[in-house]
Amino acid sequence: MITFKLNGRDVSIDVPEDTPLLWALRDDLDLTGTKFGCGVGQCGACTVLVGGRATRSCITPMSSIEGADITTIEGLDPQGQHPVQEAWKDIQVPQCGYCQSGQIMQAVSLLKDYPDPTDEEIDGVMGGSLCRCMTYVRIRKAIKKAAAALRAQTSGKETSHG
Amino acid sequence: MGKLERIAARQDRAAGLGPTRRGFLLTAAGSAFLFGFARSAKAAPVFPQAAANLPEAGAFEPTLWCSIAPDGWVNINIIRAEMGQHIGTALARIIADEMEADWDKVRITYVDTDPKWGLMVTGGSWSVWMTWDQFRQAGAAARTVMVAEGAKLLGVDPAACVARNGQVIAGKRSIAYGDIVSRAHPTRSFTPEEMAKLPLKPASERRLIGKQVRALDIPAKTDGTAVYGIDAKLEGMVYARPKLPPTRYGAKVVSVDETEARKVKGYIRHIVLEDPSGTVPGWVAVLASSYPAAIRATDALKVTWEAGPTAHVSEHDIIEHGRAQIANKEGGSCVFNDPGVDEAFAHADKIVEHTYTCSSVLHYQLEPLNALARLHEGKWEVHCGNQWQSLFLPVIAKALGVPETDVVMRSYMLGGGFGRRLNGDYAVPAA
Repeated sequence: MITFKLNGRDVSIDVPEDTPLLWALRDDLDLTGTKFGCGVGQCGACTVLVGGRATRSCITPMSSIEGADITTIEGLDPQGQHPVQEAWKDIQVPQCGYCQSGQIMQAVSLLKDYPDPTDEEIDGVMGGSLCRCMTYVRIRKAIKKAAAALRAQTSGKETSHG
Repeated sequence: MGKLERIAARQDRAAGLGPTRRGFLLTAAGSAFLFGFARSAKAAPVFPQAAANLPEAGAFEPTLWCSIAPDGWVNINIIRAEMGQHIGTALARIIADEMEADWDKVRITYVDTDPKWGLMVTGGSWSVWMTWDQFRQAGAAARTVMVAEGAKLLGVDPAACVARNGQVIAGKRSIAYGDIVSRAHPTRSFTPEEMAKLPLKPASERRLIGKQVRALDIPAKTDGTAVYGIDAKLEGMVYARPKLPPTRYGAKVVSVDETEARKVKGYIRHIVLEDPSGTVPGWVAVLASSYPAAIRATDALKVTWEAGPTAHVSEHDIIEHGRAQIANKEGGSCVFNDPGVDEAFAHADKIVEHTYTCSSVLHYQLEPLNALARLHEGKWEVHCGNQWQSLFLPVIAKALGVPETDVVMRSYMLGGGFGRRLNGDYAVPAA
């Protein structure tokens, strides 16, 4: 039995320890928003947050996530209105959409490290998340938009608290 | 912890039950494919689009292509595959514009392969122009009825009414399409001949076409709720991955050694596929109780093949074959014959000749090829994203040895098509 926190809730699950997290999420916990792309950690479609960090779930064995705090695309915001998701809709980023859960999770992680990312920083971090439809230009634009929204949120909070 | 008990029970069942040979349908192709089989008839379906295509209770459906529900929502039926081109949005916009619908109350349904939809193929940049006339007429039909019935309810002459943004308006009074449907219960339908005669809006009156509108499929692609073929699920399904032969055609299985595969927890068995349609010769399906077990067991299974005749064809051979075809003046096909070309060359001062080549490349759609199949109430249901259902449904029927009327393909989002899913080989059954 492996116990961890998933989208804010405690979860215990009985799967073989070497099962990749991706399959436990998709098939045992019915969270299919996280996608199977390459299966070897090269495309980024399966990206989730483990302890707030972008992690390739297809190569993350269940044994390594005991006690971890995991967030999937479904858990980013109860209404799907996280600033990154809002920016994604405003800029109309997705085409086929298959890579976009992973792109969004990677972008959320990126914005924690780079609240005001440059093109180079975006390319550096997002480079491992492949999009066969070539939505990269809009991804970059949406990340900047989300960054601005998040900074406004943060400064708003500081003001109200100060 | 009801959820966990269900998970445990499912895994117990998965470990203990093996499918019968007639009980499933083979479904995959390529290097990273997986496919699911429905194992037992008592399973509750978890796929979401299965019950699509039915107009809502009390909805007005003037044509096959759209309906207006009493709550004002307009549903538009889409026979094309959504693979990133937002085709549902592009086509829905044609009807919605012509019928003067409120874009915020338009939704799309990707339909199954009911023969009533006609040819189902998505490719060649055909979808919009081939649908344009039909969908404009369908929109005009809906608008015509809304204006006629709305005018009656408002007690005015239809000529005094305009349709706009999901409402019929006469001066300062108006009535919403949904209210017209719920109060007047219109039932009028149109034959293709009647539809062709309906007056269409002039281009200057277009309010959605040519404007920026929000694509209807995008929100679901930002919160994990968009459902692709690979997300289709059945309680108690088993998973399989194909072990692919060295050549696409003509390979024969000589022997299979499952010693190592048996060591994979969740491995059920392997099957050398027998496929009357000839789509998957020499393929070996590896069945397991979960996706990761199917992946590992397939890697562990050792198969010896007698390769087909193309085993030693190289990229160089393919390019050279192409050159030979070009050199052969009798071969090939003429796409467009402009007699002026020869004339221009004959009088040219200088002729530049160069050959451009393109290597063979893989499609690399991100969603691995996949399909889920089950025999349900006498019908073979195939759940997958596909670009050319009209081509492959007959092949699936042939592989199964059943009439085409016993096979239905249900539509899902495609995690990329790029032409790879024009071929439905991954959905071919080999039960």
